[in-house]
Amino acid sequence: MANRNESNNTEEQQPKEDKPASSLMEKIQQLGQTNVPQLSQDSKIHCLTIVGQIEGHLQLPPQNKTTKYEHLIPQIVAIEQNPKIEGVLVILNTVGGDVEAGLAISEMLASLSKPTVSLVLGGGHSIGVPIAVSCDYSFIAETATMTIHPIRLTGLVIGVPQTFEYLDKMQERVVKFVTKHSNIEEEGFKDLMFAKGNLTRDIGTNVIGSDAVTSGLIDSVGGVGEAMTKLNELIELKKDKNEGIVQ
Amino acid sequence: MIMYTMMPEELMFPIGQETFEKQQVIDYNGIPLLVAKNDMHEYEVVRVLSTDPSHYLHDPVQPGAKIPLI
Repeated sequence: MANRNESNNTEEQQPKEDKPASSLMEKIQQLGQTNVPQLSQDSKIHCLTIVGQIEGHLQLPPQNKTTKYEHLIPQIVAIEQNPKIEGVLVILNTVGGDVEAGLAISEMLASLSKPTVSLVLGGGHSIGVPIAVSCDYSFIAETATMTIHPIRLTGLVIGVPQTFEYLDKMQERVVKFVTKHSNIEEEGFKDLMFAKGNLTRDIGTNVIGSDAVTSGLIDSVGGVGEAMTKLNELIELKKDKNEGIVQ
Repeated sequence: MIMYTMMPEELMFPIGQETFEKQQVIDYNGIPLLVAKNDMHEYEVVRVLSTDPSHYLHDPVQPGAKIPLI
């Protein structure tokens, strides 16, 4: 045991370089494959992945897969400041989570000066909806779904009329954000939000792929290829616009 | 015993501090990583938190890779 640790410490800078046989074994253990392709240069497009639950003020135990806003927000600030980064691809597969944290991420993405494209894969439920629509252009995979439902609280709730008013205001913020950043009208969005009979024993709607596009929530159906093409197109458009200002 | 409640599980059964201490975020050669300490006194990479896609192709930080404790 001690020997193994020592040898690991000495090759800290270049791990696994001297022991080709055991490193191969380790790689197979880690990934089930022997080699990973390498990108030579720095990427000008960065990728934000929003997975699992969007974590708010309450820290969730490690077995939950979460997206933490204290991680994401500094990353968005870094993307905004780094001149080498030209665009951001946002990949969503989330069940939703904290409303305030979700809205914070959405506002950060919406106010980013660089082109952004979002892609909903699997699910972009609940507070994932404002994040998906916050980008300049949004895609949804054909099989991906988005659940639109009213805001609710879990945990300890003080049952006074003010609580419900506060919840109503919170919902209004989400509705306003979504209608401002997508092609859906407030009435249409609220219809989806309060629809009966779509979800078993609950109100709301589960829109799948092309349904999200026809309702005006998402711009088009597509995958990573379409999303990248669109992002490159937006980057070119922005470059042309900047050159125009210089002249 | 079955307990029916609308309370979130973590509110009913609070999780010990040591569960949270198992995982931490470290910066490894400029790549932010979510790591878990294992019994061998190494960090095991759980997740890469970077936004740079090229970091995900960087061999030493593949999820499951072991980084010795300094």
